[in-house]
Amino acid sequence: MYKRLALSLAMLAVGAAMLAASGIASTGSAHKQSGPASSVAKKGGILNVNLFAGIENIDPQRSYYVPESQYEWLTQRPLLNFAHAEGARGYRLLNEGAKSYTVSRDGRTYTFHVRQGMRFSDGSPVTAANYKHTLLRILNPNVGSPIASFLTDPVSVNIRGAIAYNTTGKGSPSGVQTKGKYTLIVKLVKANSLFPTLMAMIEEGATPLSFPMKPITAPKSVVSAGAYYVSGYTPDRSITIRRNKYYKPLGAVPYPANLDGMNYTIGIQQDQALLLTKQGKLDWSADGLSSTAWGPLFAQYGTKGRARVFATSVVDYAVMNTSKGVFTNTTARKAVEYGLNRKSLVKIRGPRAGSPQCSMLTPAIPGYKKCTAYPLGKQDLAKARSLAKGHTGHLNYWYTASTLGTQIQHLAASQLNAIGYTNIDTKPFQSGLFTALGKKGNDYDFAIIGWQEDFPDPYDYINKLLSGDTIQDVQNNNVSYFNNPTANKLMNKAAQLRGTKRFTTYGNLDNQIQKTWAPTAPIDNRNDREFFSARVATNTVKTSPVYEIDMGQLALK
Amino acid sequence: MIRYLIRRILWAIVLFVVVTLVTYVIFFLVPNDLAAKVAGQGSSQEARARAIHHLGLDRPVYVQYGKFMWALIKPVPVRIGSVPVFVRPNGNLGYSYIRATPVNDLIKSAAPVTGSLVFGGVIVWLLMALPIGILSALRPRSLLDRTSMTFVLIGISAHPIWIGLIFAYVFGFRLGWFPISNYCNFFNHAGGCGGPAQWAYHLILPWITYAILFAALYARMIRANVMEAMTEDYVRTARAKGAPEQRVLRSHVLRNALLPVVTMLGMDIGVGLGGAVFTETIYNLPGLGKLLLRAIGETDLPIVMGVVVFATFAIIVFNLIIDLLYAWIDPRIRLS
Repeated sequence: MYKRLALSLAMLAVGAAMLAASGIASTGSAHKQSGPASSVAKKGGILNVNLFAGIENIDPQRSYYVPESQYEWLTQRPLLNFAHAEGARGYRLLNEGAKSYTVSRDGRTYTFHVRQGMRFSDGSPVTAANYKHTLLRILNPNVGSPIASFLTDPVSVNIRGAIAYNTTGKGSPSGVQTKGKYTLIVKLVKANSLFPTLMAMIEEGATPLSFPMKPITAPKSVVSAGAYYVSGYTPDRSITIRRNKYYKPLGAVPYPANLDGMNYTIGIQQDQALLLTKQGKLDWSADGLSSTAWGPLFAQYGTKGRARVFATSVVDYAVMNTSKGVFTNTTARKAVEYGLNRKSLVKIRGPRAGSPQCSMLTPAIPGYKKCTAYPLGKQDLAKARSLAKGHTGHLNYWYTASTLGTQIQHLAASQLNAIGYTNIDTKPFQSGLFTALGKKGNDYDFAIIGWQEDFPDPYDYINKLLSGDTIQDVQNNNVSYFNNPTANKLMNKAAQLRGTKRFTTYGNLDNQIQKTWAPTAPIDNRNDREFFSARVATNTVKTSPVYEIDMGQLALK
Repeated sequence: MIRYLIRRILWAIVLFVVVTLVTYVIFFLVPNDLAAKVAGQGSSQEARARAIHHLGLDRPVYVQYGKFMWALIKPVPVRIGSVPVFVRPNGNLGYSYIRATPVNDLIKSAAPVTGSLVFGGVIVWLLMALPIGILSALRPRSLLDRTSMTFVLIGISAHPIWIGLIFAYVFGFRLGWFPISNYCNFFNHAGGCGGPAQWAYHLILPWITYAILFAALYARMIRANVMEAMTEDYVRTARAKGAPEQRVLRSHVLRNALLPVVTMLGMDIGVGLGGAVFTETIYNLPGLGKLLLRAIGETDLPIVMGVVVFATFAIIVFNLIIDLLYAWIDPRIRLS
């Protein structure tokens, strides 16, 4: 009896331990990242959406990933908003909750005039106090908003008093004030042209004053002021989105809103989701299908109908640890740039997975300039070998242990072998690779990861991923630990520029950094591959450069 | 009997402490960056330090473990009106680090799903294994026996994930007979479906997928036990005394051959809780297995501990029930 009980419990403990050991020990894509629809788009109907991996946060101020952003773009009403348009027009900033805004002569004070008559989905009015509450929730450390760091950046946007408030959570930042019922004033420590872009992020949507200064985790519904709202939420099971009957544009460009709502199911395994979409029981898998699904789908449906391909803002790139080991040497890093076969690394993710590139900025980001410094197709082995000569040594290669991650690791390791890096130790992560890489002092040398924009500005790629000024003990985005004083100075200078000059400077700087120092080896600009059910009117499938598929424009047949 | 029960309960407590302690220690041995997840991506070092303090993760592991156990077992008086009648353990499993939700609520929501899968699965596997095992034993080396043993071989060899995917494709997608994902509550309607009929309809494929491996193992075991019992002296004696074959089989063969099955059942329900992870993943059932997998990915220790504690408790209870059942079935155990 004891033996049996002990055996049962031991089996349970071993099982839990094995799962824990395999799971806790972690992805590459660390981040998140249209003209009006056809006039014949049918109104009404409910779109059935699957989110295999679920959402990270239901709390609007804590949202960070594309699947959440896609519906929150419709449920939230920030002061400014990105236009529901394709291509570069999708970056256009429109007045949304703000009827207008003014900037002081020194560029440090923004005065927003909030539109009168807006209402939340529960019928309560939206005033400047709600936008102030949003900013306070973002900055309050107890809420843990990922956007806080964007508004407390000493090099970029830094709201007056925000760093102190973000540290202690006490008082109120002096840079956020209301004047009367419909005026919000935000003061920055120094002028920065990125601020309006940040105010258009969906995390900046108006929030009711009842939202607490701590994370909202399992609400029955989420009150918001956009064209839709989250009317039902069951953690790990479902999200229901319905129209906000109190929504009125009031002079703003109306949200596209063809559907009556969306029913999200959380967790349907990708292979099952494909079958259900073919059956019409699901309309769309918002976080994608498995890489093996796309070949047959493109063969059957082409790429202009139910199966579609769009470029995203994601860049996949190899990071090389410049703070230790062989990759402290610039020539060794350049050897990798010449030695990687970018085309084959893209192809391994299935058909139309992306386009090879050697810049960090992607074509969707303002300022992008095509990089020609390194081979985009077949690698230049002779050059790579000659550069690597005398600089080879032991490498720790960290990778995500998914099926695809392992395939990429095998291929990239063979390409490193071919140029002389034959002594490679690999370390798999079930999840959290980016977090592990971001811990300063770790012993990795090489990894392949992806990055998606937080906001559509080159600062989010160049300064965030390559500036040595951002390096801290943990949570680093600059995981190559590249810290070159000349490059840092150039990046800081670019961050202060505005308009076309800013973008041109960043485009050139991107290429200059890669060509001169090669701290990373960009591989490709990833594509977004989508498959819809026969219920969806595919002429209404439009993409935003910020949030990918624009659900507001989607319509059913 | 009372001494036996006390010894058994003390032993269960020791095992319970060991299992929870091992899980706790493993969590702290594996590197993670919880502070960043709780405080937010890109949060300041001060905010992360505060998050760590708030979660109590800056204290020694034994203190954290002690606090966890105390919250779990702290006696709480149960009152009728204002009069305390008896005490019960507090049973507080804490709050999820990532979701900031009481773990008890998460377990309460997921346990019925896993319970539905496991108990339905047990019934299905017994319904499959009993007739196959018995009939194969009664007609050894017949066509029926060979066909059944082929099924057994497939059931044992094939991974539940593969079986699940094939079932979903054939019976769900191609034939359209059964739904291939999601769970409907037995009682209340949630997410568009609910009620006993929808509950069972959505669980048919998961039950069969879950049951096949065990059905195969049990069919083989029952076959062997029945064949062995058929050769026993008491069976020959019963036949010699002129007992009808039905009675010989029911009262002499099966009663003895099925005793080990009851023993195995108690153990396999524990093992089955682990196996439910695969089935829950394929059919998108929001049970304990899925909850545990996600919590492990998020390094959410309170949820991992909650599931482990719950499963440990369930196994102890099942074993107790099986022991009592065993004594009821076998008079020799009652007498001893």
